Amino acid sequence: MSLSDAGDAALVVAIGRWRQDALAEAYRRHAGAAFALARRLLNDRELAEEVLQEVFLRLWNEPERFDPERGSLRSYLLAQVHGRSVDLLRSETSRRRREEREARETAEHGVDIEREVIDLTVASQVKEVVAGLPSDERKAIELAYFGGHTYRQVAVLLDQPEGTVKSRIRSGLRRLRQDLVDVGVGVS
Amino acid sequence: MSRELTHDEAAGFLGVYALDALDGDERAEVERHVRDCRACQDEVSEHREVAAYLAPASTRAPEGLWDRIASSLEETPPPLQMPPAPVVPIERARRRAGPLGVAAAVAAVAAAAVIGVLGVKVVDDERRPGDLAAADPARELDRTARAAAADPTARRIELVSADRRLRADTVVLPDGTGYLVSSNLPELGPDRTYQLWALVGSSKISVGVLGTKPGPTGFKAAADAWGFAITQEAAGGVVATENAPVVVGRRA
Repeated sequence: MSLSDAGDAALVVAIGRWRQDALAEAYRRHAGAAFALARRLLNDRELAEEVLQEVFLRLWNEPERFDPERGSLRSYLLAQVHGRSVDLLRSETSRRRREEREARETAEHGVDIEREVIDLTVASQVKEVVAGLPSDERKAIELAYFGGHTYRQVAVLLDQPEGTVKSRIRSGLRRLRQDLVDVGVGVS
Repeated sequence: MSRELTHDEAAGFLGVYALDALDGDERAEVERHVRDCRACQDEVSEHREVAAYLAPASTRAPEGLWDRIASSLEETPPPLQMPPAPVVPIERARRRAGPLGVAAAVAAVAAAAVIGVLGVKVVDDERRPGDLAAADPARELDRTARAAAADPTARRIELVSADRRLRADTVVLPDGTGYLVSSNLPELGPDRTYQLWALVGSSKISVGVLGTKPGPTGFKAAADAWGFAITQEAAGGVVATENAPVVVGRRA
């Protein structure tokens, strides 16, 4: 079986055996989505590239952190990218750069995951499911996931109690999962 | 101030934890709970899988980035880590623990003959020349164990305590090579040790002494073992045990 046909688990086993071509295949499959997420969060091409490099090097150095029983390689890598990007967003240097940028971008207000979601063949189903979420849940998830805000910050932004925001994010994610399954999108 | 969360408290944070919407002490507290709670790990994975569907459209990865990554693979070998507690062959452990009776010694030799290999470290021979990991067997063992855990042909056997709070994850490859991949067994005092047993028929056959805080470990599993158990024993290990297992699991 060639690496291009290999599943996530086999690919990561090969990475564990120091096969550079396996890492290249993982990069070929997922770097585009990973870069798009990092750039969406950081709005800084250079920082996004740094995050991507860090995440793929981590996959190389610590392939055992990926557990195929706990989800896809794509979701694992995107979670890594998200976590690292959020760390950067919350760092002082990045905050300054972000504030400068936001001062320039006065036309842009908030985020809209209905427009953000494009995942090739499943795009329309995912969009439909996201649109069907109660707006309180959707807003809280948007601000946390794409805004990189803590739930306490989200609570302030939405003028809602912290506990309510916390619960809505969890229930919203659960609802999304169930709805995605219902429309036939394979959430593992 | 960091504190221990109850399961229900931690569960309430799993959505925001999965989206990285926690920071500071709260994040550390939830992280600590999730590390040892399978149910919470499962839920976090589910949330992250959903979040991956929300990610923006793929774009072309930046020109030249792969070349930079590939070149740094050559430049930055993995960092060294502290070695895990080694498996101690039972014959050696017994001598260190002091003399046993003749009958016990005979039994130990017999057990060794049955098992063939006691507590050997198994290493992957597909290593990258010149890598620091190759000079650090403990790190390499850890990496090999993790790779085995991700191998689709491996059989995973989860050893759990009666109350399901303690666990140890093992995998066995088709050739009988087994690995203790991870565990959350509490550290023992210096006069005690954990010991791994293969369950064969109605007998427990020692596979190896795991030390006071089990880390990734390789072993050879008897072909007819239907499960594994870990017991607490006196330091150095024992030839046979009547102690109830701390954790136990059977092959599916």
